[in-house]
Amino acid sequence: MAGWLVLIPFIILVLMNSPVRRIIKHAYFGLLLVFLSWQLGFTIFGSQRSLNLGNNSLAPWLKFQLNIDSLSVIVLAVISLAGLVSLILAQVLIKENRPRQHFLNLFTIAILGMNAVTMLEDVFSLYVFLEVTAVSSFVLIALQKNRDCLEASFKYLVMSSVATLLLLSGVALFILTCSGTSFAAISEGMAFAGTSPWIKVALGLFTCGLLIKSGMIPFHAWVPDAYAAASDPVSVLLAGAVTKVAGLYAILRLVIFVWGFSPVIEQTLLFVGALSVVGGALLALAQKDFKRMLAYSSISQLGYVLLGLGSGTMVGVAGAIFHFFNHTVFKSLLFVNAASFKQHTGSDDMEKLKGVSSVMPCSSITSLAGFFSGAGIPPFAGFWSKLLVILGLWEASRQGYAVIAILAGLLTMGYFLNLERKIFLGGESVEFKKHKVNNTIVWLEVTLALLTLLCGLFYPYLLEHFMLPAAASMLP
Amino acid sequence: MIPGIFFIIACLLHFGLALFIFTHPVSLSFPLGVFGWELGFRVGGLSASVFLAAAVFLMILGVYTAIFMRGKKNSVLFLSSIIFSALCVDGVFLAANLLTLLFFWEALLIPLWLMIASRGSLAFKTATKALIIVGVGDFCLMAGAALLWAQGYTLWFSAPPIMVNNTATSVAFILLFLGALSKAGALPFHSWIPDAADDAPLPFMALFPAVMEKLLGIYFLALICLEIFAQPLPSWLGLLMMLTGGITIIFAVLLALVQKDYKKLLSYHAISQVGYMVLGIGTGLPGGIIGGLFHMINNALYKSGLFLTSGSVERQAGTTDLARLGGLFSRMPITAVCFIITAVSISGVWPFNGFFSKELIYAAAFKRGAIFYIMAILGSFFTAASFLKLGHAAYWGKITPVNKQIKEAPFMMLMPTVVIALFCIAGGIFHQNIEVYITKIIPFLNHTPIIHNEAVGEISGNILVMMTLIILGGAIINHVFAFRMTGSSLKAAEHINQAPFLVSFYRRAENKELDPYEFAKVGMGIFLRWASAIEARIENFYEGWAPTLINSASAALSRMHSGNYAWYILWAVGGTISVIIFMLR
Repeated sequence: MAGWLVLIPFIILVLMNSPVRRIIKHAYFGLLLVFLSWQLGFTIFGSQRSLNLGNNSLAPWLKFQLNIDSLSVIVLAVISLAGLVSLILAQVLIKENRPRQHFLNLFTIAILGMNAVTMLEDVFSLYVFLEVTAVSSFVLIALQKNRDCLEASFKYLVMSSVATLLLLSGVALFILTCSGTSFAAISEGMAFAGTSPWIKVALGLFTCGLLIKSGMIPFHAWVPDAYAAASDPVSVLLAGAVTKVAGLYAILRLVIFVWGFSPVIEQTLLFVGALSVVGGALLALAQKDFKRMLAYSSISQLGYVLLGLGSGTMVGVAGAIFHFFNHTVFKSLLFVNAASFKQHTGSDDMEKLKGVSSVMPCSSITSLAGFFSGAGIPPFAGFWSKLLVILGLWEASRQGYAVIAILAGLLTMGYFLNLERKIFLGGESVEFKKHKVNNTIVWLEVTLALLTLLCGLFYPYLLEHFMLPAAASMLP
Repeated sequence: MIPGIFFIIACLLHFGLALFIFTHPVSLSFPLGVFGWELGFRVGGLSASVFLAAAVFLMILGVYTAIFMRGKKNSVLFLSSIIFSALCVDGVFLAANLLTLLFFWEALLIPLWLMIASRGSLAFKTATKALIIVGVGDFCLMAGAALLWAQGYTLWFSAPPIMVNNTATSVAFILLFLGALSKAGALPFHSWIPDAADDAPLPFMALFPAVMEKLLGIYFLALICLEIFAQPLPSWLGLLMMLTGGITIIFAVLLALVQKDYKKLLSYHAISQVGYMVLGIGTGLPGGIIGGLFHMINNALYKSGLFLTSGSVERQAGTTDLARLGGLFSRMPITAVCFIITAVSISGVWPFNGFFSKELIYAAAFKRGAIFYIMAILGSFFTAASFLKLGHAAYWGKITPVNKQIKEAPFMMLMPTVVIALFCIAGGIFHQNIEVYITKIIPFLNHTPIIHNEAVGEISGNILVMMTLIILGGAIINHVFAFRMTGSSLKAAEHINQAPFLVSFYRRAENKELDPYEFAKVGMGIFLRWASAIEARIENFYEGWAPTLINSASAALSRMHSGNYAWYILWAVGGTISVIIFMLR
C-alpha cells in the first residue's frame, strides 16, 4: 500500500508526458484529484503497512524502505489536503493550457517527493527525495516567469544549496561513524559512539540543513519571497505541505525516532522555535503585503511545532502534531482568501482591502475562521493545539518558553487583527464592482473554515484517536 | 396574543410536570468531571413542597401576566424571561447539593435583569441596581460554599449536618445566611425592590419580590439552618438572625407607612414581611420555624394578591398614585373585596391565614426575648395602619370625576386575584392541617410533635391574642383619629412622619442616605478613582511603550531583510555554526 503512494504519482507523471497525453489531455486533473482524495481517505481509514524496494547487494546503505506509522498517516493527510486545495485552486486560476500542464507536472513530482519523504527510513534517501521536492518547488515558484518570481526562486535555490551542502556533509559523517544511513543504523551508532564529536557535528549539520528547508529563523530568508511571489496555488502547496514535510516533518521524525530527546537537542529546538515564534510574529506585524504577512505568520506558527517537539513530553508532541495539521488547514484557507481578494483588487496589498467585506462577505467571514484558528481563539482548532503545546512546555518545566508562547499569541492576534480591521472596518469602498465571486473558491473557503471549526469542536475525539496514539507510539 | 396563549400553556404544562415530579420522587446525579463535582437533583421533603408551591403560583400568576402584558412593549422578552427564570427556580428547589443550587441560583440573575429591563431604557438603572445587589449576595453564597468545600465538607445536603463550632464554620454560616437574605430581599439587600416597583412591569413584582424570591430565600434559610448546619446554632448566631429580622420589620414598615404610591407601599411591605420569617426561623424553636415557613406561604399568597389588585387598578385607572385614586369600591367591587381580604390577612386579623403564622412567630419571639416580640408587634401595628391608609385612600373617599369612567378589570385578571384571596381564607381555615404538614416534611421537627395550640398555649395564647387585638384596635383608632384631625386619608400617617426621632429617619430615607447601595456607590467612587490611577499606568504601558517597543523591534527586523544574499547566507551559516558549537559543548 505504501508503495502505491509513490508509484501512482509516478505513473501519472509518465502518462502525462507520454504520447498518450494528447488523448486524455483533460483527465489529469481528475486523475490527480482522485488520487489525492484516495490518499486522504486511506490515511484516515487505512491501515499501516510497509514495503521493501531495492536490494542490499548494491551497497549496504542504499536501501529503499517505505514504512507508514501513525505519524506518517497524519502527515500524508496533511499532504493530500494541501494538495487538493492547491490543485482545485490551480484549476480555477490557471486558465491557459500550457502553464497548467507545467503546473500539473511539477505538482505531481512534488507530491511524489513528499509522499516518499513521509515514509522513508534512511537519511540518504530522505535527502534524495527532499531534493526532488525542492527542485520541483524552485520551478513551481518561477512558473509565472516575472522578475519577482525568478528572484524568489533563485533565492530559494541559493539557500537550498546551502542546505544541500549541510545535509550531504551530515550524511557523509553518518556513513563514516555509523554502520549505514538507515534510521536503525544511525540510532545504533549513536548509542554505540554517542560521545564522538563527529556524530555530534553530523547531527548539527543535518538539523541545520532541515531548519533551512523548514525556514525557521535565522534560516528563513527564502520563505517570505517564495510565498509572496509564487502564484496562489503554489503558495498553498509551499506553506501547507512542502516547507513542513521537507523540513519540519523530517526534524520531527529524526528527533523522535533516531536522535532521541537529549537536553542539548531539546534546548536547540526550543531556542530556534521561540526565536521563530517571536521573530516571525514581529516581522508579520510590519508587512503591508497580504501573502508576505502570511509567510511570516507561517514561520511563527511552525515555531510552535518546534516548541511542542522540544518540550519532549507526550502532551507537547501531541500538540505539535495537531498544530502541524491545523496550520495546514487555516493557512491554506487564508491563502485561498488572499487569492479571492486578489481577483478583485488586483494585488496583495492589504491597504487596498479596505471595506472588502461589503462586496465579498463569504471570503471575509471565512478569513475570520482562519484568524480565530491562527490566533488561538476557542473553540477553533488552533486554540487546542497551542494549548497542548503550552501545557507540554509547562509539564517539562520550561516555564519561560511557555510564557513566550503565550505572549507571542498576543502578537499573532495583533497582525491578524490588523488584517481583519482592514477587511471589515474600512468603510464602503467605491473601487470594487460587484462582480461574481468564483463559486469553486467560495466552496473551498467554506469547506476549510468548517473543517477548522469542526476540528476544534471534535478536538477530544481527534486527540484520543489520532494525536495521542501518534505521540504515545513515538515516546518511550 | 399568541405569545400570551403559549405562555399560559407553558405555565400549565410546567405545573403538570411539577405535579408529576412531586408524586414520583427520584434522585439523579451527573458527574462534571472535575474535582469530583456532580450535578445532583432530589425530590422530597421541604424542597419538593416549595417546588410545587412555586409551580402553583407560576400557573395562577401566569394567567394574569399574559393578560396584563398584552400589547405592552417587549412582552415576548418578558414572558420568555419568566420561563427562563422558572427553569432556574426549579433547579434551585430540586438541587441535591450546594454546587447545583449555586449554579441555578446564579443563573437566576440573568432573567432577573431581563425582566426588569424589559420595561425599557428607563428601567436599565434599576435592573443594574438589582443585579449588583443580588449579585453581591450571590457572591457571599458562593464564597460560603467555597469555604465549606475548602474545609473538607461535602456539599451534599444529605450529608450529616455541620456543627457551627469554629471560626470557619461560623463565617461560612454567615456568608450563606447573607446569600439567603439577599434573595429574600431583607435588610441590607432590600433597596432595589422599591425602585423596581416604579420601573419593572407589575407582574414581575407580583411574581418575584412577592413570591419566588421569598420562597427561594426562606427555603434556603431553612435549608442552612436545618439541613446543612446542625441545630442548635450558637446563641449569638440566633441573636444575629433575630435582630436582622426585627430590624427589617421595623425599618421597612416605617418607610411603607409614608408612601403615597400603591405599588411602592406594597414593595416596602414585601421587605418588611421577610423580617417575620427570618425572625421566626432565627428563634430556632419548632414553633418559630413552623411559623416562619407558614408565613412564607401566607406572605406569598397575600402579597401577590395585593400586587395583583394594584395591577388591576393600574390597568383600569391608569395610575397608582394614591392622591389621584379614591372611591374605587363602587367601580371595582370585586378587586376591592379581594384587596380587603388580602389586606386583613397581611395585618394578621383572625381568622385569616396571616393571623396564625404571626401568632406562632410572636410566641417564639416572646420566648426568646421581649424585645423581639415588641419589634414584631410594633411591625404589625404599622402594617395595619398603613393598609388602613392605603385602603381608605384608594377604595373609599370621594371619587374624582375622571375616575367615574373606570370599569372592573377583565375576567382573566380577576380570576387569579379571587383564587388567591380564596387561598388566603382557606389558609386560615385549614391552618391546623398546614402546620401538621410542615411538621411532617421537616425531619428536624419530626421528633418534636408540636402543633399550633401547644406552641401558643404555653404562654397562654390568650394573652398574646389579646395583645394582637389591642394593637389592631389601636391601629384603627389611630387611623380614624388622624383622619379626623387632618381631614385626608393620605395624611393619616403624617403624625408618625413628624414624630420625634422619626423625623430625621424619614428625612435621611428621603435623601437615600439609608440605602446601602448608595454607600456602596460612594465607596465605589473612591475605589474607581484609585483604580483609574492604576489604569492610567496600565494604559501607558499598552498604548505607550509596549507598541513602541514592538513596532521598533519589527521595523528593525524588517530593515535587516535588505535582500542582500550574503547576509542571508551568513545568518544561516552563523546559525549552523552556533548550533554545532552548542552541541559539541
